[in-house]
This record gives sequence, structure tokens and C-alpha cells, in this order.
Amino acid sequence: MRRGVLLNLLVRPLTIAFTAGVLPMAAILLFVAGSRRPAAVIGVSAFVCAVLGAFIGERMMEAAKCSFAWTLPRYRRALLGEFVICGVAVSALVALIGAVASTTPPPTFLVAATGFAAFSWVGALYLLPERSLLFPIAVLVLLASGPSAPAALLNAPLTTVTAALAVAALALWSAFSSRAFRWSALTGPREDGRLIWNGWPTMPWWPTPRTRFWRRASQAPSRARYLGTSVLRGVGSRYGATKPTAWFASLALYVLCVVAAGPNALSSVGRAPLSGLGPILIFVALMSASLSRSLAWRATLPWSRRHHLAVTYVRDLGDVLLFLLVTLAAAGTAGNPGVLMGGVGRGIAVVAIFFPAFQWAAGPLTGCPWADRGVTMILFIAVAMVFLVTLRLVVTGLPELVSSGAAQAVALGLLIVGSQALNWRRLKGYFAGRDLVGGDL
Amino acid sequence: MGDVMFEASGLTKEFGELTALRDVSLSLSGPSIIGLIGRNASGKTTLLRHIVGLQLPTRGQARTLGVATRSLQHEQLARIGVVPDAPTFIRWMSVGRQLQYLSGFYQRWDSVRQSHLLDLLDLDVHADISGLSTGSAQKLAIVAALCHHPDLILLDEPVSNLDPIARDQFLKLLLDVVQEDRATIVISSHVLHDIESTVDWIVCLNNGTVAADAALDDLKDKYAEWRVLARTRDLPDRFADAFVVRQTVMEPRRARLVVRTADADVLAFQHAHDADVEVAPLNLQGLFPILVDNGRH
Repeated sequence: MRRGVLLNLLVRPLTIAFTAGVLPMAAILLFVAGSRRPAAVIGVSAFVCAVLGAFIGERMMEAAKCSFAWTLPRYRRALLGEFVICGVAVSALVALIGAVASTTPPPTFLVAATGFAAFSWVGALYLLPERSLLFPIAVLVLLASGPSAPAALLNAPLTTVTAALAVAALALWSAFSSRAFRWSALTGPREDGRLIWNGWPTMPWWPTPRTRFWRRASQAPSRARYLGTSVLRGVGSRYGATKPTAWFASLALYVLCVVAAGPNALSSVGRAPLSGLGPILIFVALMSASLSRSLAWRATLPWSRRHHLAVTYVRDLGDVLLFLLVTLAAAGTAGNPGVLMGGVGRGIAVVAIFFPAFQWAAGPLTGCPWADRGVTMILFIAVAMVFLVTLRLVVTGLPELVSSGAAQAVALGLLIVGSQALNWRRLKGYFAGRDLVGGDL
Repeated sequence: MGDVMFEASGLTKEFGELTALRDVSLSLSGPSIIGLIGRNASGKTTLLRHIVGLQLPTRGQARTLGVATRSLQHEQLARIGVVPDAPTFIRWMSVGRQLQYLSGFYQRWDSVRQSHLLDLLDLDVHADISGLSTGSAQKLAIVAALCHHPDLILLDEPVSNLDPIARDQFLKLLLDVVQEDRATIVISSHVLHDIESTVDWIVCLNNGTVAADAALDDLKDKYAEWRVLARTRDLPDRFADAFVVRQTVMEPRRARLVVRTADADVLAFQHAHDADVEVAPLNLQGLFPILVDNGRH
């Protein structure tokens, strides 16, 4: 049997860049976590393994969606074997770093087992047909489980190891099943091709809108009004075309997390952005940003570049507003809307400021040489890191610089407007000079 | 024909309310080149996907190389080569690296044939897959499907994106492959003129059912085209003769008919209508509407 099936998918500059970026960061995180709280080593190790699992899972998904994947003899088995070897090596390495980093290290086998489970689950998710539903659930549940989870695992090591290995086995069994590979081969790389169809009824000259358009034209309508209507139709179609399961699951889970976390978690965002609701805010921002990116399906519609620009910008703006509205509504439901005037409000404002950056890091609008999920993942991580630093600075540093609440609100409002202006300029430049073809995202 | 490569019995595939294949029973044997024809959405691709086990029957049985398609193992898969209608590969690899990646999975991978096919189809081994045109990607899929000397080759619209030169070369290549490997080739295509010179058996699907399953020569023998020219009086608006299957051109003094040869009597027809009749063989393009219209043959 051929060896190096998975390795051949990884041997490329992207992997070297990714590994060079992730491994040192992982080591630093482990040393920081280990020196402060040994139990945190388990959580950080699992997180690092999950990130590496995601990277490798992405590469496997790329191959599984190729037309040759289904008929290639022993392909699934070969991929599975090397994925497991990879997972064992990664989790062992991370557990070893954790053992060295920690002052009172948790049992190495425990760290390795949870790491392997995280690696397997996240990697396997990429191959599963239900990933758009399972991925947000998995991440939000993990984030919402709170900082006490690793300590609880530490108290029952044998149960934890057994459960972790069972979870890993279940994930591997489902991901490398013939069902999952059949689905990948049948859907192919353009699984959202059907969205093209969903977009047609939104065209201004499609039967129903056409009648309205001509009726308006005969009454000497304003061009601006027509454009406004067609742009709104385009934005509406974009929201309508996104998989409803992904939308509703993410939205419902986000609201649940905010409500369940309660006022204490909300107020902790400012003090410790890396714990509690902070990562959830980032995750939801990233998710909603990535959902609105791909232009692949729209490029086939007979829209002008100006129309594309307007639809994309309004949709981007809509994402920010939607995020803010949902967060405010969820905070209100949590019974502590007043807390929004403090650190939490500033934190949410920072998310709004960074939203365009998340949207750009979520991937290019059309297919181009750097249109690679690995590259966008690296960009995502980079933006998230800068975001966390800024969040910390704004939440704790801003009140020291500007004491008045109103002045703070004005400053943050100006920053939001500024970031939107920058987004508009970038989109304008993009649609003025970029080929609007391709798009395999 | 020899070995049975694929057998279906009462094969039905439903997608919700849509029935893509309806009670299909057929047997594909080789070595031969089988033309799988039919109108759009007649179930050709679905049938090909059933042969490799990519889709499973809602009802009925399907067996490929003697094994139920649900349980195809690597031994069977190694004997199958597939060119899908929209082939996709790992985008960042080069053509050469992609073929090298695939070659490791087949014991019978033939590097000499690979080089020959790459030359024949004018495919650059160093070209990046992301930059390949649709036609070149199809050529790569053809190379990948033929290099391991498969016994069963499934080609879903393989010539649709090829230029005329590549198309000719490819069709000649199929004949070589059948001779050399004694393979069975199932080729689905709408370009009937092109495949006519290559195929020896026709399976025609219509609305998910088998409308025809016969040797091409037998089908051609069963029908003929009559070019009718009236001598003295106008021809009738429609010919009522039972052997007339189709009336394609109808003018007052001229007509073009497709007739069932077993029942047709040229002399009697000429006498009855006071017309000259020129008898011509029917090509696949001419046969197609009859096969589709007549239902099961």
C-alpha cells in the first residue's frame, strides 16, 4: 500500500508556514498556562491539537472532495491510518511540551489523550456532512464549558482518558466511513453550487421583479430608487442563500451562550478577554464574517461591478448590525443591560470595529492564487490575536485616557465609522480592478 | 460478449419525489464499448454512479464485477477507471505530481502508458492543476483513468470539453484500449456523431427507464431512412403505413421517413404513392429520437 498519502497532501510551503506560526505560539501558550495553573495545560494542549487537527482536516477534505477520491482503492484506509499516526505524534509532542512547561504537570497520558480526542474530533469534522451544524455546536460548547472544565478532568483521569479515546474513536469511525466519503465525492468542491439557483429570483429582470421594474419605469422612477431596491434584493438573496441550518444553529447557540453565561461572564470580558464570553464573541464574529464572503455564486449573475460592490458592502454592514443587535438583545435577556455601558459595551464596540478585518481575513471574495483555506486560517488567527490585544487595551486602557462615558462612546463610534470607511475603500478598489471569476471557497 | 461487468435488476433510485432510475434491469458485458445515451436528466450519470457504488439503489439490486455495489472492495475498485463529467483534482499539485500521487494506489500502474497518453493528449506534466482549462482537466482525468489498465472504464461525457483533434485522438485511443486490455468501456455522451464510430452496443435511457439495450448494428438494421420523391401527384399530409415510425420532412412532393425495415415493402410503397424511394441507412443521431420515443425496445 502507498505510504505518505496524507504526508503528500501536507508537503507544501503552506504547511511549513502554518507549523512555523502555530508551534511556537503553542509552546508559549503552554508555558504561560503551565506556570500559572497546571490544569490549564490540559485545555491549552487540547486547543493546540484541535488547531492542528483543523489544519490537517482541511487538507483531507480538499482531497476527499476530488473526483478520484471515491474510486481510489484503499484511499480511506490509508488516510485514516496516517491521520491517526499524525494525531498520536501531535498529541504526544504537545503533552511533552506541557509536561516541561508546567511547574506541577498534570499526568502526561491525560494531556495526550484529551489532545488526541480534540485533534481527531476537529479533524474529523471537516469530513462529515453535518459539519456546518456540528462545528459551531462543538466550538461554542467547548468555549461555554468555562475555565473549570480542565480542573474537573484532572480530578477523574481514568474516566477522562476512557471518554477521550471513545470520543476519538467515534469521530474517526464517522469521518472515514463510506457515507462521509460518498457525500464528499458527490458534493465536490463546489457544494454551494445550488446557491446560483437561489440567486436567480433576485435578479431585477426575473419575471416578478421585471413587471414591477417596468411599471416603475413607465412612471419615470428615480434610478437611485431602482438601484436601492435591487441592492436590497441582492443582500436579501445573500442572507437567504446561506445554509439555514448553519445560520440558525449559530445564532441560537450564540444567544444561548450569552444568556447562559449571564451578567458575570459579560462583565468578565473586559477583565479577561481570553476567558468566558470573549472567545465566544470572536468566534461568532468570525463565523458570521466567513458566511458572507464567497462571491463565487454571485459572479454568474449579470450584475455590474457597482452592483456587486453595493451588495457586498451592504451585506458586510448588515453583518455588523446583526451581530450588535443580537448581542444587545441577548444581554438584555440575560437581565443585565446596564453592564453594556461598561467594559462589555467597550468590548462589543471593539468587535464592531474589527468586523471588517475579520471579514477580509475570512477569505477572498473571488478565487485568486492566495485563495487557500490554510492561508485564510493563518490570517484569521493573526487578526484574532491583534483583536484580543486591542480589546484588552480598549477595555482597560480607554477609561484611563478618557474618563467621560459619552466621550468614550463618541471615540468608539468614530472608530467604527472609520473602520467601515476603510472597508468601503478596500471593497471599491477590489471591485474596480479584480477579476470576478473563479471562487472555490 | 464475455464477462459480465455490471448487472442491475429492478434498480430504482429516488431522490425525494424525483425518480432518477425506475426499475432498471440490464447487464453490461465485455470486452466492448457501450454507448450510454439519453436526453438530459434521463439518469445516465446516476447509473454510472451506481456502477461504482457512489450512489446506492433505493430498491433493487446492482452488482459490479460480481460484487454488490454497496460492498465494493479495493480489489474491484482497482479494476475500474472513471472519468467524471466534471473532474476535480488537488488544485495546488502539478499534473505530474497528481499522477504520481494516484499511481501509488494501483499495482498495475503503467508509466509508459502515462507518458504516451500525456504526449498524445498534449498535456504538460509540469502544469499546475489550478491553471488547467476545463478540457485539460478532462484530459488529465482520462490519463488517470486509463493508466492502471482497468477492466471497466466509465466515461461520463468525456468528449464534451475536448477540442476536435483531442476528441478524435481520444476515440481512437478507446479502440486501442479495448484491443490491448480487453476492457469494457461505458461511454455516456450527447455527441452521438462522435461516439457512433466507436461504440458497438447502445443503452438508451429515457426518464430513468431503459428505452433500448441492443447492439448498434442490430438497431441500425431494424430501421432505415427513406427519401421519398413524388412523381406525379402530391404526397399525403401523413403516411398511415404501420411501418413508418417517424416522418421528419414533409413537403407536397418530398418526404423523409424513418421506417421499420422488417415490415417495410419499398415496391408496394412506391406503387401506392407513385413515388421514387431512396433507401439510406440510419445513423445514431437519426436513431436517437426513435429510441427515446418508443420506450423499451
